[in-house]
Amino acid sequence: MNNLLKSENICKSYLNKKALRGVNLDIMPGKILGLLGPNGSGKTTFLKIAAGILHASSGQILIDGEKPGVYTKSIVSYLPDNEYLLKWMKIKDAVRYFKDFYSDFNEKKAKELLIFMNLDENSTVKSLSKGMKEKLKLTLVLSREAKLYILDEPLGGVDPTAREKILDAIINNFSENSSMIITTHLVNDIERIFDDVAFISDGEIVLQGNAEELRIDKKKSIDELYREVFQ
Amino acid sequence: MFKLIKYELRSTGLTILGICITVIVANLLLMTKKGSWNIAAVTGLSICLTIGAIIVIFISSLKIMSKYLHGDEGYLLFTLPQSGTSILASRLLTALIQTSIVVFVCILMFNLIVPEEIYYSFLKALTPSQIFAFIFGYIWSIISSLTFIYFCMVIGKVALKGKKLGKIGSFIIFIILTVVISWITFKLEALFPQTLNLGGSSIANNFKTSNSSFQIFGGEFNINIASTIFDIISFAGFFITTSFLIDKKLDLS
Repeated sequence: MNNLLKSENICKSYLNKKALRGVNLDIMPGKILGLLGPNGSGKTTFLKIAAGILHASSGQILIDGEKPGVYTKSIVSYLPDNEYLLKWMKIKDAVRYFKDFYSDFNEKKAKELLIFMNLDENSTVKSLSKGMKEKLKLTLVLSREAKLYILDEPLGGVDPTAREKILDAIINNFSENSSMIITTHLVNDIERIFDDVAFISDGEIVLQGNAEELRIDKKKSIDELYREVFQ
Repeated sequence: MFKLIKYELRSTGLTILGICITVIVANLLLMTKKGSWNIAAVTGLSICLTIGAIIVIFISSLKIMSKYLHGDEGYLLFTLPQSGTSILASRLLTALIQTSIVVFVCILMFNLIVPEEIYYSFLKALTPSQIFAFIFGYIWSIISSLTFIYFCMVIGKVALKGKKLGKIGSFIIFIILTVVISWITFKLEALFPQTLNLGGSSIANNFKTSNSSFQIFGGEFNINIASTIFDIISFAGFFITTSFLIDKKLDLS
């Protein structure tokens, strides 16, 4: 089976700072990878490179065998950690926007997810709370039948009840033909859905492997392992 | 690309509406002064309003691009499966449509203010080729100037990653390139003074120079051939380079 994402020695430098120092990561179809690390470790930088909005200083990243570009953007569903939806939009406008630009967007699924998330499609984006915006972004991203989902801090700024709902939405809408990369600080809340994990520190992968095998080998949960690696 | 234009027009709809309403209300107020004020003053103020409205819509076109490059909105636009060419072309066409809506409203209101005999005598004096040349010049000036400014904005963002540095850098690049392009144009026009009269379609020798390839005088619409070719080449260069930079080099912060 071919890797859906393959990165080889990805480096990214900003003027005098190295954000990534040779990251090697592979993701197989049907797998959910947890990319875990503290603030400033390079998680978001890596995800942005995979999403095609940052360019690596050196190394190569291939998604479905292609370098990031128009094709990879059509098969990658990216959830950034900022408020990127246009302020003038109502929720229904945002749904229509995604439907217009992504051929893999499933409008029926979006409507179901909006109901599941308790979101009114006539609400304006700017009237939503942070948690509701997060739910809307996730609704839009998960309503695509993409090959690769990239979720940057999907649980950031949401209350524990909403977290459960978001996790349920992720699990229920994930297809075995797709892959997913998730970054988070809330490892304990989300570790149950990871197939593989990679710990990143100071721009380098310091530990990676199958989540279940790591738990058995180290006799620790991923959350405990995270605390041990980054203590 | 046309979907991008649709959404860009929707997002700036209120700005355009606001400008148009301001132009209409201000011109209606000017109309009430037609009897009491000198007609030249009323006409002059209406022209000032038109220029002001065009400047406002032009600046709004620059602010939109700046938001894409430096703000969160860029995450929505640049993750779409659209090429740099498509993104740039849609931005330029949207700006052209926005400006044309405002210009149309301004002309309509100006028509109501200016005495009919002056307005129609002016229109009657224009030949079809002159009207074509005016329209072409109008479209060209908007598209080429915005392409040049967008190029400066994108290259500033690519070269200097920070938000503030990127904006200042873009401005400095804009100033330097403007000086360089003006100098080249000046030299080209001095070396190759041949002009083409679009109004009458004849080639003539003309030693008049300016920073623009388009000159209108004596009822003619002259373009300097050498500097026009240079303008077209530099426009193509800026457009292709900007598209390439968006596709291959642009990093969102």
